Amino acid sequence: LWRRRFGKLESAAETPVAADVVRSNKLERLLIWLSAKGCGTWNNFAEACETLELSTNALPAKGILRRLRLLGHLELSANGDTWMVAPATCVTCVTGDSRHFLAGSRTVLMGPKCDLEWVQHQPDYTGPLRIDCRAREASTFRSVGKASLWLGNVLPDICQWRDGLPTIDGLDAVLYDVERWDGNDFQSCTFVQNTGEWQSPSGLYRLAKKDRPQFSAVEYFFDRPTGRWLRGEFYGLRFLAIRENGSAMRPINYDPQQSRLFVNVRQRWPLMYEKALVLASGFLPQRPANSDWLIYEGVSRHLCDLLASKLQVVVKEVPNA
Amino acid sequence: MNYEEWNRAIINYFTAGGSSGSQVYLSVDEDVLEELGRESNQSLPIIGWTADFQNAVRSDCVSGQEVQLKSHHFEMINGIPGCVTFLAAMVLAATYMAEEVGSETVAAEHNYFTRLREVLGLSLDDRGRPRGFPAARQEALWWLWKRFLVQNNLVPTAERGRSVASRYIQYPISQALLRHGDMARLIQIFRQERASHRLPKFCDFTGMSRWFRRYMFGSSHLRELAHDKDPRRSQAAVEALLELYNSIDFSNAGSAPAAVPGSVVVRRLIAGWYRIADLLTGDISYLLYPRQPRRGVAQTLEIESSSGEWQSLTEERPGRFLPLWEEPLAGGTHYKLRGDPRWSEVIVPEASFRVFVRNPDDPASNVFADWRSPGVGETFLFTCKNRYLKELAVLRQQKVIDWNGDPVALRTPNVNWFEIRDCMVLARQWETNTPEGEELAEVLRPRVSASISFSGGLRAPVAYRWVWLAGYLGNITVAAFEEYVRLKVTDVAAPAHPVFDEIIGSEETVALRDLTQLSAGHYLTEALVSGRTADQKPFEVLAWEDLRGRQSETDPIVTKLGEVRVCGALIEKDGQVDQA
Repeated sequence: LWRRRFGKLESAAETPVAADVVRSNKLERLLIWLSAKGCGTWNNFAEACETLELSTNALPAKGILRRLRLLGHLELSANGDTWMVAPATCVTCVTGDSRHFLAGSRTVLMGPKCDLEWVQHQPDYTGPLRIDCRAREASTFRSVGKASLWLGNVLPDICQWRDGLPTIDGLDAVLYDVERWDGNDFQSCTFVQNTGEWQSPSGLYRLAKKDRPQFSAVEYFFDRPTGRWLRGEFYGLRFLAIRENGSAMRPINYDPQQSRLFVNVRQRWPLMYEKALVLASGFLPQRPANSDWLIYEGVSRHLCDLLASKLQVVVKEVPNA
Repeated sequence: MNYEEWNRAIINYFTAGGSSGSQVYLSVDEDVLEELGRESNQSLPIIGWTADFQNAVRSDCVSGQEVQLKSHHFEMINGIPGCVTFLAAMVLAATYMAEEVGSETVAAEHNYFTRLREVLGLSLDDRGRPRGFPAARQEALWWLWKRFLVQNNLVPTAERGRSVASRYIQYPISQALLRHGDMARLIQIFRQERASHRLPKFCDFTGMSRWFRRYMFGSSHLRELAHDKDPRRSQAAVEALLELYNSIDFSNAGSAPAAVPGSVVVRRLIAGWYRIADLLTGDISYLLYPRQPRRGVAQTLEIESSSGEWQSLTEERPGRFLPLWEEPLAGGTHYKLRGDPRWSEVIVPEASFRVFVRNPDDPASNVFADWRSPGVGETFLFTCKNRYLKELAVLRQQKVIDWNGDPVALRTPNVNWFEIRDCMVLARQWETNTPEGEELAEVLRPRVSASISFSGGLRAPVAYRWVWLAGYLGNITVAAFEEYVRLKVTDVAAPAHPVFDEIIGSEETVALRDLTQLSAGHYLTEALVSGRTADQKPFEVLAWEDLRGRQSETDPIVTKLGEVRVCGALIEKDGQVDQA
């Protein structure tokens, strides 16, 4: 794939950089395979990652799936069992002069339709290739405009988002070994019940069934005011937990000159909000070595303020960060 | 009909309705030619359809006293091989061979070429192989046919002979299952056997196979066929016999069978079962699972249920219609068909046991059906009436068969039937002296000596085919009763040099990826035991460039944000995209 642009793929795995390129191209192949399949189960996905030698400890299948969702390639069913490739679309970048990129379903033949010079690797080679789509080719694919802004507009604020999360009914925490997220890691704790009501604070909990240790633990958010257990993806629930803690929430940094947004890696946003950032440029966030910041490119001031207000986070302006 | 029309008709006749991976015998005889002629919607030539066929071959392939094959005979034209009419003529000649002549003798070679000369209209003053038709060219034609079959996920059966005399003539002889006159003889025999209840009203494969091997045929060819050293050929012959049996109208003693020219055709589709289990309740249901017409594509068909309602038959996969209603395993019923006058009813063969294999495309699912016989080393589901349980236990003690757990009793409408799960046949030789034991041996005794299976790699999402993506090939394993087998993998576009040809151990896994980077194309895997083909399985290597995107047929998965639906980067409200 993309042989002209990147040269020999398989044999190039001798240097670390070339190995990254190989991984990036394998992720591209994964997307092409998923597009050919159309939809499938989580097991299908995990097996494909394994066969393509993508699913290592450094890049587990769940992480790959999340990245594909951020890029608008894939959707996941509410229960997480089934995935489906989204329709091929041409997305307009939020900043710059009317630039576009492709999201959704992909085939090898999409490359030649666009000029290969416009194909780029994702930062840190953690996703499939970003195919820039020039205006003349944009008509080939379904145009969805500035999807990022549209998504930012329709997203609820964080409280409404929390209230809309699916709940787990009838969960008896006594049957589980329980750990609570302390801001850095999970720590063992006792879930307290008194006169039929749970007394433990709101937060992110990890539960492992006492009698079935072979099953992997699951993470839920406990919302004490309503007594509900909420289900969702990890980063989203962790964000809620940090927010509960109030003082732990850090501001985000915004560089207006370079249209870059900086989010602390330990306070990653819930998927749909992060997706609005990624769809602004078609690039996954970059994380420089030894840095705690995720850097999102091509984020306009308007988009930054829109999402920050919905997530109730403070924006700090840092010119030329 | 001209050469090309015959070519298309013959190919369609032998490949349509075949299930994935099924074997194809180009068993052309006069009856087949007459049937093809009748169904061509062209007026019957005065000389008859067989002579019309011969004229078409002669005018295209013969010049004077010489065979003159042209380039189009050696090519795929619009995806179909141009050689099939000529190959059919070669097989037709084999059906005219004197029945007392064995197929691997020098006399056979002489006998065959005499018949071929007759079919091609060449002088009988000359003897032996016709001029202009060297053996190598003949082989190239057969490989073109094989290539076409493998590309269509079917298994070719034509092969070289083992003796010098039969090396090349074995190709057509191996395809001629029934010889001239066999049909008429068999019809007469079937009527007698049916009248004396030695064959049931609705016979199944096992019943016919058992009968075929026991009947004392006067014809030496039929005797040889019933006990052919190649079990795949015997199996194909049983299928042909079953098809003939099901086309006879036994209610009318004077009526001719389907194959006799000008007769009213009585054709029946055979149904099997599709077994599903409810994941929550564990309830097991066996649904009626009709086979598609093996030869020739039928028009839209409807079936009448026992309540009198008509229901359309829709293809589920190559060779099968979608499963219908719950049907008792005992069988012995039939349902009316309408929509295509060639097919009158679906019959459900009667039997006291059934064998089911896992869904080949989704082995992890709960679905079983009678898609094929289990291979060597493959687990399967066996259902039988309770009177066989005792004998099964004896066979288990003898270590010829084993299974997991206890037999599970089935509910209505299969009361007195039991399911035996994860069965596996452990030995080839069965010794039994009870009637039940003999019946069980007939259905369970392995028909093949080795089985090929594929695993691993990245499969292209192509239903009912084994297609690996280039660079991510999987493994081949051969399970056999012998300790060693010969495994051959051939690129059907370049058959002269197999890409792999080695002796391997039974159950040894060959990783294609480690051996060689196979280029995109179609391949035939062949396992040979004692020099004979025991199993064949096609696979394809697909280039990434040829992998196409597919729109899912199920409802799209979307994230709902109020009235807005998000699917990837597509954000819609009331079906409209906001161009923010």
